[in-house]
Amino acid sequence: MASKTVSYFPGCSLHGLAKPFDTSTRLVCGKVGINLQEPNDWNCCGATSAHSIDHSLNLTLGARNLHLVGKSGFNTVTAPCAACYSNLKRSSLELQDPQKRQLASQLVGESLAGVQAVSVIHILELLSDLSISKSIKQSSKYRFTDLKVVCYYGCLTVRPNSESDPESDSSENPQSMDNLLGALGADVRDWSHKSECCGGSHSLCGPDLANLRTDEVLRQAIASGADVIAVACPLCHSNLEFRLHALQAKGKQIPVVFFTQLIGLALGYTVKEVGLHKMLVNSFPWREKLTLA
Amino acid sequence: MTMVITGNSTLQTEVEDLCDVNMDACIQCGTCTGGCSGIELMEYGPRQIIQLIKLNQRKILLDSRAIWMCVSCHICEDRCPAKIKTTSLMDTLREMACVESTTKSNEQIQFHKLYIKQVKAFGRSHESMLTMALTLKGTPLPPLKLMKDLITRMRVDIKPPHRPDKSYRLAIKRVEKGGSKGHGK
Repeated sequence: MASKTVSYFPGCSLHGLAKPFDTSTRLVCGKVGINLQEPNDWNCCGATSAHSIDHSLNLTLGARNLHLVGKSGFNTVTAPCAACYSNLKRSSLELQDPQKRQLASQLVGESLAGVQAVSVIHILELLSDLSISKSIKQSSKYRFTDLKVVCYYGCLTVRPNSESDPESDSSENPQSMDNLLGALGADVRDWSHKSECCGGSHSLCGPDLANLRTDEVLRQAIASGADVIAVACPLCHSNLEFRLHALQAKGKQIPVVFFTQLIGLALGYTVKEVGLHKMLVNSFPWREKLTLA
Repeated sequence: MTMVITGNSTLQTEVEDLCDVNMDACIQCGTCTGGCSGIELMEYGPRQIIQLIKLNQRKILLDSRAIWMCVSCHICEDRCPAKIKTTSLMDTLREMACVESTTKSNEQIQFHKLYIKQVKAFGRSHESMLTMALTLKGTPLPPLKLMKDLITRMRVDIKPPHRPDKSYRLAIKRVEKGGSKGHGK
């Protein structure tokens, strides 16, 4: 298997609560020959606070990150965090404007020549690449049997949607995660809230709104008959998990896991290796759902 | 009374300059409001916000709760048939409100300011330190059982915060000197 190196922007959450997303992403990528390289001294992407109230700061944070990626010789960077992905992509679109580039260059203190050539992709896009998704399937040791999954993309994994890129996933009915998990035998369910918002940006500063959104997502996921919710965003993950935790005594519990953890299981990694034992809802009989491929 | 609008309102011109949004393209279809993730807690939905800008209702808008109930989910912008960048528009209104609104602080402003302070100092956010800082400002601590379950599952970041390079610290100094210039494309 040919190996390739990709620039990887983990973002702040993957160093904290969403560490299992980082661990499982690295395992899956490693298995299919992708080396992930973090830009040296990357900084916060700016979501949500900087873009909400301080545009110069947001522009500087985004431009510096994209510059660090370009400087280390990459023209693509992949982010597993949907908020990082979306905000870096927004920065990259903004930096196509020469005037904005000039302003950003003064603030960052570096010539940003070439920064507009750096494209930003979500980890789902990287793993959905035809040769990589084939390689995942070929390397899989197990298949999921009778595992009903709803894929929850959240709002920012698929937004802003580039019209210029016909390859990008649909923002209303995305398919990339469904295809990846479906190829590994999972019974992926169609449902209504695939790319609706979980209210994550308000989870620490306006829980009323966040609770309205998460309750709706959880209700729809459970109504679809799913055993598990697969997510591709650390904010969706913690927001849904914390809400389930608060409702422990009253509501039905459903595991919320990163899609890379499921892929990791199929590739032969253990429940512990992919970090499923660290999830708040973790009493799920994973082994019973796996059969040899 | 019938209001007759001739030409663009001062507020419209100002906001359009700041965030490169053409509000004349809005056909008031309400698709934005229909999909809005914060709508239950807004007194004006995004469709009305655009209309209020055109009506030059500066104070009403900048003092509104609505601009703070936007969760930046991009759904309005994504579905807009007139391709109006509503997310950038909301960012611009929030930034203007921070400077001139009579609502000097609310939960969201307080959170954003703490978050930004941390990002400026460490280059990154640090969940446990952010939670502590919020608690010191009066936000209730997360439930004890939740904290206990996260700690026993080793989900809490106990590493010291990141120390950014000099190049980062200098960039932040320049940002602090320069002030903001509005939202772009």
